[in-house]
Amino acid sequence: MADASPQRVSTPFQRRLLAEAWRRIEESGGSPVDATHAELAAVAQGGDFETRVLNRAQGLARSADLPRALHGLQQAARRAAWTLVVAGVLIGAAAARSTLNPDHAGLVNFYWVLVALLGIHTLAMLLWLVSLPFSFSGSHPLPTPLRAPFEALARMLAAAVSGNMQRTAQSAWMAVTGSGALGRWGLSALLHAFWLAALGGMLAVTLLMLSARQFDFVWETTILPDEAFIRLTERLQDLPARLGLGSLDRETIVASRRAAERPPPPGARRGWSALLVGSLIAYGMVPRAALLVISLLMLRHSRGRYRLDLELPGYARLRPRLLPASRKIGIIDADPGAVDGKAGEPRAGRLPAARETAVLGIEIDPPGTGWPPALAAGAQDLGIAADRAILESALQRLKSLQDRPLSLLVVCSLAASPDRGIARVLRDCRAAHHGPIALLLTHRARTALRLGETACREREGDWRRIAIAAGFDAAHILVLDLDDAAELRDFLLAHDDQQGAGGRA
Amino acid sequence: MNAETRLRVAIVGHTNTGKTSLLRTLTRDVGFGEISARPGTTRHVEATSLMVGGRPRVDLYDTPGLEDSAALLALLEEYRDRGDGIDRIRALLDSAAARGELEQEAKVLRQVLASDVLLYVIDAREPMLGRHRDELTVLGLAARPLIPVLNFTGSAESREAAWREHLARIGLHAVVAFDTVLFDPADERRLYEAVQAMLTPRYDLLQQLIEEREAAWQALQRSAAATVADLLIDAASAARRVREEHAAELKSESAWLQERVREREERCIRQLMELFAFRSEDVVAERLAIENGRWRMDLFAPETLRRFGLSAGSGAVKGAAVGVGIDVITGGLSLGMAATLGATIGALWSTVDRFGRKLLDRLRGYVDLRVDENTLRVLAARELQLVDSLLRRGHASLGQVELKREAARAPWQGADLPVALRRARHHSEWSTLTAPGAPAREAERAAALHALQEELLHQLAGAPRPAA
Repeated sequence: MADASPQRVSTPFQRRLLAEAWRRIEESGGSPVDATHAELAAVAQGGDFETRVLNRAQGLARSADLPRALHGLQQAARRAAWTLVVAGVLIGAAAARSTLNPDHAGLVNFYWVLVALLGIHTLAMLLWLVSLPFSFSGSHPLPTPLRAPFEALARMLAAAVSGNMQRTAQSAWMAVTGSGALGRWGLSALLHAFWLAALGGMLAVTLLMLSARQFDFVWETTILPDEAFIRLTERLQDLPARLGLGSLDRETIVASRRAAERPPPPGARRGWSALLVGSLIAYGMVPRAALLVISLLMLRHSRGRYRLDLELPGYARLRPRLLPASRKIGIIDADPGAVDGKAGEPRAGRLPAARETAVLGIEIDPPGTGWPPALAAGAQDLGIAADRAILESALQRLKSLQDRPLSLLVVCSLAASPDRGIARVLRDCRAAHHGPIALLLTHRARTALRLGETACREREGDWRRIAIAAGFDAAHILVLDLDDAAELRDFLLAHDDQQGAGGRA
Repeated sequence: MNAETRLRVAIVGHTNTGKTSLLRTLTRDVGFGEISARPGTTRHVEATSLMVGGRPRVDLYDTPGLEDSAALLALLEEYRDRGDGIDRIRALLDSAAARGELEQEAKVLRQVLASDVLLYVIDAREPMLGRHRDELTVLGLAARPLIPVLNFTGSAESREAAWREHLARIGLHAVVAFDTVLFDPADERRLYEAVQAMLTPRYDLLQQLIEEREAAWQALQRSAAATVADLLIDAASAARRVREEHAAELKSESAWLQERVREREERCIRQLMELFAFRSEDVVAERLAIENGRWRMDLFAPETLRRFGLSAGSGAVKGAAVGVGIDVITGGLSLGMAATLGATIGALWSTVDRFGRKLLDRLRGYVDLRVDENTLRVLAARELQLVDSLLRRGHASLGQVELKREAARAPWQGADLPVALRRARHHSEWSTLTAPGAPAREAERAAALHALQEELLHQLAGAPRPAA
């Protein structure tokens, strides 16, 4: 009853159940053996995210006994459901047997028997009906009193399984089939099946007792008016009458009132028996059977509508792998192998000693401390070259100054990346000038902020390397932030001392 | 044009402008290519394809940086008589220089000629220089649609406005700002829309790409919120029964519970990293003070609470909920009355069972240890901060990230915890920490989880919360 198809072919619901079980196993720490293989296969098979998750689960399942565990659980559940049905038949039979006690054959209160046979059933059915709307809004599949026996059954089932895989499979199965719409209709179906079986048992025993024994059905009252019972009986037999069971006329009913001096008319026995059997069918079995059919249909419908909760972390984490945003194609135009120059040793640079200096800025913003920089007082300003044309004219001017004892200071930004383009510019500067040449790298603070200290130092090394390769003297490469007035002043003070000491020596 | 023809997009630009970073962010693939602050890190053309409808449809080509555009331009000038721009580029590709010193530039140009559209990446922190104009001139010869992409626009040094003006003056108006460090899905959308505008025949393909990315983004946010909600429910519902007067047991059990919560938080961090396709050793963790997949500041340290503007109560873990449990059943009735009620209403045996056990425990001198409310607030605050950073982070950056956010503030401060969490306090069977593999009542936990997920999405969006 808990599951329909015993075939090996798995329904979409079974595939989802399998995926759900895998999620639980993976979340509890047990990692499947070859997830990579299954994932690659799932990606290759395509489809939307859920399809891929299901294919992945299927792929994983080939190497493990999880599907067998799930199948076993379904079998166990089916056995349990049938046990419940058999128990229902026996309980119903026993109830009917104790109600229509052969030791007390003879005068029997009809309404007493009816309430004993149908009372609990009717109460339980009303409780189920009343709880149904709540089970839609709340998350409980059924109210506690209806659910409790099944939870006890589930605990028994849980105790029976062994092994981690089985236990996880069991908890996944319980979670899926025991909650939400599936749980509501699954448990309802079980409940109605149980009651239908019990009513069937009652009917069988009732028929048996009515066949083999003689009961004189009467009704009695102490304080109620007789008319109430006569009316009640007439109302009661409306429904069974439609089934052809129940044809008591008013006289027979009136005559069946319990009286010490006279037994009920003999013709009334068949009529009352027919009403009893008709009531069992019309007020017991028919509604239960209808509810069972509805529950089973709803169960089937819910199974079809069951979807994995793909937002749960256990599924969501698969998304980048199963539904990648991109696929690598690879290197299509390879690097033939690069030649790198030697990296310059970082060391404190200084300006070359000379009477006059020419200053040329390359691709920099005018520094905060002014242009030309104060460290070359009275310098020849060659300007800041922002493009090739300005650079060409600056280099022309430099060439025209070559007859004077001049040192050239090239100012670059450490923030710029020391590429082959800038290396060419440095080579051109070197070629255009015969005297001493120095390179000043500004914007250190800004670069360090942008790249971090390690990468900044690396970049300094790269600048030294291309400068040395372009023919600069390693001693004449200095790092000095021209935006920072204090740093510039300190440098100038130190530089003057150095120059002074050099002059005295 | 065939519907199945792939769209080819070449990503070009000066060296070190973040071409590979852009590619990593667009592909959500943190392992693509190699990135460093040194020039010429990418020395080959590497390709990757964006998946649209589950199939590779948009090919992206990462090219080496253009370093010596001046030499390139000078050489192209020499081929002035060879025909139009494309012919001149072909002539250059056949020359000796293309195999020698201009080998990298030749690779770029070869790829440019084989592409449908060019994304020209610019470091917006740099001024516009002669070399940029040279590069644009060279690329212009290839006569391909070109979209300038301004990178690092989130930086304080960004000169976005100046760049837009300069580019407009040379006729480039479809400029897109796309910061690969501070990711914004709206930027990505604008980038694709710009391509869409340039390549009308591929409008539908790009529209599908835009829509799929939008859906994936929504799913990512929802999943992240669910992941954090799962952690919070686990922590809020965790309970440990101890004997009240037994000080040593109280202490050891507290330590045990704290350790479980710490482990659970680490698991959450791992799940989030996996969700966003980040490797846990990635920089993002470094910036957020996560070390070895664990926040550097211990969850239960009093200064952690203070940092989020919360005060430490009578200890981070305390036996609190027992009293609440009793209040719930008695509803103001006396203890004996409740017990009598429990005994008479047999139909409710299960409910009474749950609380009844607690009552009995109380009488025997047992208390339930639970995670403190403020600790839950800290957990929520820390993980939301992580999610927020992951959402805003491109898959690229190596450098420093200054996540502009105001002082950390724990959610639900000075207010009650959300209903879902308060419910979790009464359901110790929901916790995978103290009741692993507890069967049944899954739907209740799932309902609480989804309610909390919505609440966390509100928190992430910074929207005013509906009254709890």
